[in-house]
Amino acid sequence: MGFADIVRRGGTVLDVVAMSARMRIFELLATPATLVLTVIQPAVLLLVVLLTGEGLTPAGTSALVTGVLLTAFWGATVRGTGAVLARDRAQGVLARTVTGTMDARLVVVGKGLGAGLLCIGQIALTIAAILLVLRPPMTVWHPGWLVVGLALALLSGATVGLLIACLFVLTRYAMQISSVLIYGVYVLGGMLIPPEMLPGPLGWLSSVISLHWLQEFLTGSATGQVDLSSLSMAVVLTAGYAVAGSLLFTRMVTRARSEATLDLV
Amino acid sequence: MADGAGAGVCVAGPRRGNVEGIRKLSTSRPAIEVVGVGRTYGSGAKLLTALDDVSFTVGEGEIVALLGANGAGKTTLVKILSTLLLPTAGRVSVFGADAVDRVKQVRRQVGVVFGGDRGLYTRLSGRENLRFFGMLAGVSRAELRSRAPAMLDRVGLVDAADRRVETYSRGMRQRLHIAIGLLPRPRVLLLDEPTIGLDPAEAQRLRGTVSQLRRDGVSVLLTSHYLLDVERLADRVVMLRAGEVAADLPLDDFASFAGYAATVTVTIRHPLPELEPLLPAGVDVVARAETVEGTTLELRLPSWGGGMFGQLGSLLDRADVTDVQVRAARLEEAFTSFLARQA
Repeated sequence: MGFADIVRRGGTVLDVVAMSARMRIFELLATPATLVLTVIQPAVLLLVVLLTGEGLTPAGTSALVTGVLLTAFWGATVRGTGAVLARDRAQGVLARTVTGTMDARLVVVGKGLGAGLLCIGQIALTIAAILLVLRPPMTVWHPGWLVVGLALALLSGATVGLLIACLFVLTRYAMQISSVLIYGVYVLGGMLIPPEMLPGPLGWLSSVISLHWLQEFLTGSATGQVDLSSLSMAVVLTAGYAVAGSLLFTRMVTRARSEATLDLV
Repeated sequence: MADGAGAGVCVAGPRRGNVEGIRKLSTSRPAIEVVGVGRTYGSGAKLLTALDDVSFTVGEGEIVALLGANGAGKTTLVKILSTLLLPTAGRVSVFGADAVDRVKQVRRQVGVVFGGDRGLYTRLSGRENLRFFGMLAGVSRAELRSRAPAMLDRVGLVDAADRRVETYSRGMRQRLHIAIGLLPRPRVLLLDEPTIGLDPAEAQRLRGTVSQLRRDGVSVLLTSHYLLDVERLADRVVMLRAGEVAADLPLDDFASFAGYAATVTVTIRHPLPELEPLLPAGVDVVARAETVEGTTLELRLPSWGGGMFGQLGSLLDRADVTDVQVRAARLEEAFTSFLARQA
């Protein structure tokens, strides 16, 4: 394969990812629940923590804002990306997606990125609007590190989305699983409740959640202490989610083809 | 139906063309090769055999109709050919590429039109659907730019291309499915109920498109409950029954299962009780109705040639005939008759 072929192939891959992302954004914009998850929920969460918190320090406010951003993003990610494959199957497009010559995982990751982009954008705008109105004392993130953190959150959301999307197709208990994932991570992820306040045997769970490390990183970068080890942990966990999601997707398609347990058409 | 080429007013042309096609194809390599394919679902007491030792080939540029009653195994076979399902026995290959081991190579050559209302992103426009599925099928950006508008034009969706698919009628969705299936220039096309939801004019246009594909050398495996599609398009019929190949015949041979070549419906002003004994050998009166206008007889002709015409004509010359309608035997009659014989 020559350089031109590689460039052409890369262009097609990017096209598929971009088109899938765009498609998911359109779908989510037409879904009222998106507004609840990306505007109402973060607004309520932020108002609760800001209006009830007493003696908030600038660093503490930044930590809370980061926590709200990531918490809301997590909820929107599970709902926005988890249902991707199940919805595709219901629409009858999954068969064509998995029998294309392009890797179908690109479609799922693309849709995850689209969902994440929309969600994180709307959540960030909601938070910014509230902060502008309330003007609490807070430290400001370094723009570069903020972009790095949010980009990684986006990527992490897309890869975990691939994992969850497969899980949702493979089980009939998608709703229950999504609730466990959303609220489990809310409680155990360390984004709203500091991990050291969790019961001892459960404290370690936050260490396998990439958003926990991203919060550490973003909070640190807001207070001038850039924690690259947290960033590295988030990168490693994101890669781990990607590998697990990829393997699960392959397993799902193989099982569908061999055992005919999943009707993809 | 060897001497029946002139019988069917509407089918004579295409059928003659098909026969030539078969002759031409006899030396070509198979586009699709299905060898001893089996597929079971479930296990133990719940084991269900959907396909059992199915073998047939489809030549390059040949159109083969896959027929069978519901549950005969057609959909399972189409799923295997489109790499959606693995066979539990046997081998399927497309231009020599094994559908199990060389999936990508097979996918590059096979286009699938599943048909129906589903299978499209309803919140996206027709153009976006076409572009997206084209990209998934490996069509390059440059080719998409030139071919997508051409395909939309070919299926008559240019004006509606930028509308959301959720606003499309069933026929428009079906046409979009066809455009998606044809966009990557497949060498093998699997058509599952292609004319479902199309009005007669659209269905005819689609049949024209498929005929053109044959001329371009595209091989087509057609599954349809509309036997008119099969009658107009297919070179050959593979009939599945309970997961097994019950017949693999040229179309005209399969059509002969109807047991007659044509039906002649004659209305005579005055009753002619002595007509029946005078009918040529093999001609049966299958219906007789007395009305105020006269007597209507429905005759079934075993063959369709000059001799038969002459005998019938001279006989009817003696009667006061007010109406004659001639209809070639329909494929659905052959289909029903075949199933009845098998049962």
